[in-house]
Amino acid sequence: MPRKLPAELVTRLLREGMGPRAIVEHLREHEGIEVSPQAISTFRQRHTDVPPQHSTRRVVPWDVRPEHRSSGYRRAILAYHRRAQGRTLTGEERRNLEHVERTLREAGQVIDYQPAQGWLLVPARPGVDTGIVREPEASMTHDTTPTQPATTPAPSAAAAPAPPGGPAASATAAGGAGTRLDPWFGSYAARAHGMRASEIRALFAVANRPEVVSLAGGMPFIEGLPLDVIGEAVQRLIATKGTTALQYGSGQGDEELRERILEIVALEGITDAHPDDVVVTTGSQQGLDLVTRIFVDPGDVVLAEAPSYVGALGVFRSYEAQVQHVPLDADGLVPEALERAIVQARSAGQRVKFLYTIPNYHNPAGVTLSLERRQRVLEICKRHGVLIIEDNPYGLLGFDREPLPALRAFDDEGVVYLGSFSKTFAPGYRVGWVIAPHAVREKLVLASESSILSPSNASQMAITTYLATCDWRGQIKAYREMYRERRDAMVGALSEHLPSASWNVPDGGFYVWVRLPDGLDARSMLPRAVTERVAYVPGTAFFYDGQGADHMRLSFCYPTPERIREGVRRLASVVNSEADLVRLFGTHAEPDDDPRDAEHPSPNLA
Amino acid sequence: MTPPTPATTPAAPDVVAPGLTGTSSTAPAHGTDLSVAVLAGGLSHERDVSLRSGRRVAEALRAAGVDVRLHDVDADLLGFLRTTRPDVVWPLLHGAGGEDGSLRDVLELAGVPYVGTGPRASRAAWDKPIAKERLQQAGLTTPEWLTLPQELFRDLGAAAVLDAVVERFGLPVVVKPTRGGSALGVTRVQRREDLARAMVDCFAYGGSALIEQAVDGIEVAVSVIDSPTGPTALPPVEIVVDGTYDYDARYNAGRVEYFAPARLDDHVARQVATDAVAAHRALDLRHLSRTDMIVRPDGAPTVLEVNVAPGMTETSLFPQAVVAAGHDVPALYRSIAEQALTSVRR
Ligand SMILES: Cc1ncc(COP(=O)(O)O)c(C=O)c1O
Repeated sequence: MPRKLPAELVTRLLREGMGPRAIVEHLREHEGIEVSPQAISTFRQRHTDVPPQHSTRRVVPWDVRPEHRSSGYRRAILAYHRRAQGRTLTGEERRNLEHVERTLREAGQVIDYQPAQGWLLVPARPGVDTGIVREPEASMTHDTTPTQPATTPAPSAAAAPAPPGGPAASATAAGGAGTRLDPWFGSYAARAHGMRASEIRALFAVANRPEVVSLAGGMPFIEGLPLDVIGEAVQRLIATKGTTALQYGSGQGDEELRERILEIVALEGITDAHPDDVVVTTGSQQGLDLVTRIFVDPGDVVLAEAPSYVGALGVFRSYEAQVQHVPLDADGLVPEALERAIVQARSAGQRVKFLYTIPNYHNPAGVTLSLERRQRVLEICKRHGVLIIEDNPYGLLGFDREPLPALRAFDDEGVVYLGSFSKTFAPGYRVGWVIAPHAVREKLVLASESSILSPSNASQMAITTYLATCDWRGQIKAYREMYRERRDAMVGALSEHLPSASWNVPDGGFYVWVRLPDGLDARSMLPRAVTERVAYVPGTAFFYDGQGADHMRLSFCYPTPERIREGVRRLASVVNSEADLVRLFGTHAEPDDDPRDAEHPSPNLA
Repeated sequence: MTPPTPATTPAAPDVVAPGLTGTSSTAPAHGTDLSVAVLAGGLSHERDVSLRSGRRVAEALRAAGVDVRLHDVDADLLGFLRTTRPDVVWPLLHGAGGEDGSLRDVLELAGVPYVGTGPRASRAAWDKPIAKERLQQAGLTTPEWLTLPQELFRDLGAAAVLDAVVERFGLPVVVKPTRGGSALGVTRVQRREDLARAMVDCFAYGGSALIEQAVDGIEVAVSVIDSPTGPTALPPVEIVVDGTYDYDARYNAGRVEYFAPARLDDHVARQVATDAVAAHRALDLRHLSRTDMIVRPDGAPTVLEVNVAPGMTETSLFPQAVVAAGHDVPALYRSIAEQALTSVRR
């Protein structure tokens, strides 16, 4: 027979949030009293002044303590629960989980959630803690079930906090009618986990207000186009060829346009391609998506520059690739580092699928891969059997010189080339292209048909008309001159107002990559910029692993030179105030602790 | 086992608003006898939330037969009001400009009836330290706090001030901008070494920080609307969040489980309702407000903050409370707008 409960003590413990099993242990250890957990539950029911237990906390580690915040732990806890729910893990998740399991086992530790302190590493209780995460107190999850003797390892699935059934099931368990306002919350694929808008993304909402100078976006300056001429041509197009233009087209794209595209890429030394090698896509963004779709399995390694284009990282993430960054310098990707990365990944048993590189006027770094390095990158990739994805939307937008030959110009087997009309003409038509070896191209066409059936005929024919009737070479030249003037405005204003920062002087493209004075954190500083009516993109957007907080990307494509100078002036005052603050508190730029969520502006925000 | 708390909020007249509620009869299915200009957007850090709130409210009002125009606030506001001449303006601006009273000054100037609290009261409620003081004077509990302007750190040295903070409050503490909403710039700090970073993140939103002793318990939000019999609480909404109730949790559905009404014992539910009404009165708020509270383990509520322009988005708490009270959202929003038309301006 259990002895009488010490009512006062039990009330206090319950109020402190201790569960029945923990109280049983406490009484046994400190008071020498043996009672059953059931007795505690009954006590709680009778004494209504003790508040009911709060609902089960779903153990999702959003507030992992900073020292345990390394994405390794975080990902392991998520994977652990997913596995307990019977979901399949990606190779990378499994490897990471196994690594954490091994490490903790060797250290004799488990991860425990304490409401007041967050996630802690605590000594494992032999025989009780069987997984990497301490199971929630039985009382909190299933009070009604007879309590198991403490020595029986609880099957992890029993305590898996989020049943596969999702929110409805957990709400019933808690006894009330809770809602997560998204009945499908439990149904999303693992790849959708990062598809969340962040606080940072919300701050960009002000960017398209006229009061704000946005140095954040990548929108070309469309006002520079002869809109009246294009308007007439498009009108004629619909009047004369409307039945084709408004009809479905071929999956591979309009043949006449594919021929025209070859004229364009010839400017960068690609002279051996055939119209059949070209696949027209809905922007080069779709090209990126298709290439990743046909090559990358979850967990496969993609090599990319550090930093790299935020939109490409998003695609890689959605296919659950593992991106390894390779450093770049003023001459672009560093060949030795590339080779090291390949060798290291391979020796760790990883599959390296391709190198994704932006050789010209890099987004965001602004640098160009030198001619000499092009040969070495090609040679290294060939030797190691690594495919190259060459993403080249800015190649024709050099300020001071003729374009360098594309990587694809030297190698038609080992390079998949992505091109775009977005930056040299107009992104609104959403037309880009891929040039690929024949076998790859066949797959790309089928993949594209399965996602969009065919690229827009109306867009393709409008572009064909533009190329045929307008002086597109002259237009590109005009763009180059205009963007050069804006680059000069930006670099000049930076030298004048922000001498404490450092940056490269790009000789083409849209972007300047700025290193902030020591200690400043570009994410943390963004609200201050919004207050001062200026916007930029924090460097963390361009890294897969949360690095880059010490940089920001400034774009000079959209605002006029005068606005650019004003924007940099405002930015300088932001940086100076932030520098004061950082000096005062001695803080540093810190990695983004959840690099998966969206921290870049949407494409139509300047 | 934990007894499933009954759908608590008792239908006592001081808790649920019966009088005001537009029954569906006040909402003609068609006909646009009332015109409302919904103002949303602005240039604050919360522009995104404001735009979402604005779209939702506009949609609901249209469903109740109101002629609605949605307008971003810019330099041409007065011109817009002059040319469109709405019967009522509903400002849904969150953050600076919208809640600090300045926009409401402009509306007073233009002489248009508007939904919500007047400029002076807005200004006071928007400033957290001032609001907390008023709440205390009204006998309400609010967490212990300190206001620390950035200059203070410059004068006394950051480490010394932060040490003193920890000595006084212990840990954890919550650091937040003295002005602002949507949890922007807010950090719950567990360890002394994380305090400096939290201060830097906070000062990026404004020059003054509020440090509060962290309070644990059940998080609830109680919305209050004015009714002919006086301010009336809607059922409390309980927030159970994975992690902290931060920006991500607030506006991306999924990480938060909401219980409307909150799973509170009757007497506790009555207490939070009474406190929210008291807060609404103490801060001289009008038409609608939302008071965020923590119910501590002993059942006593503590007021965290009071919102002059509560969020009205898909994931916001005010609309959930309206539904939990059994009201039709369009009809209730319409009746709030109608009330603004007739209410005496302060
Ligand atoms: C490097 C890079 N690749 C691809 C794209 C996507 O361009 P598109 O409009 O062709 O999809 C961009 C656009 O900013 C870019 O900078």
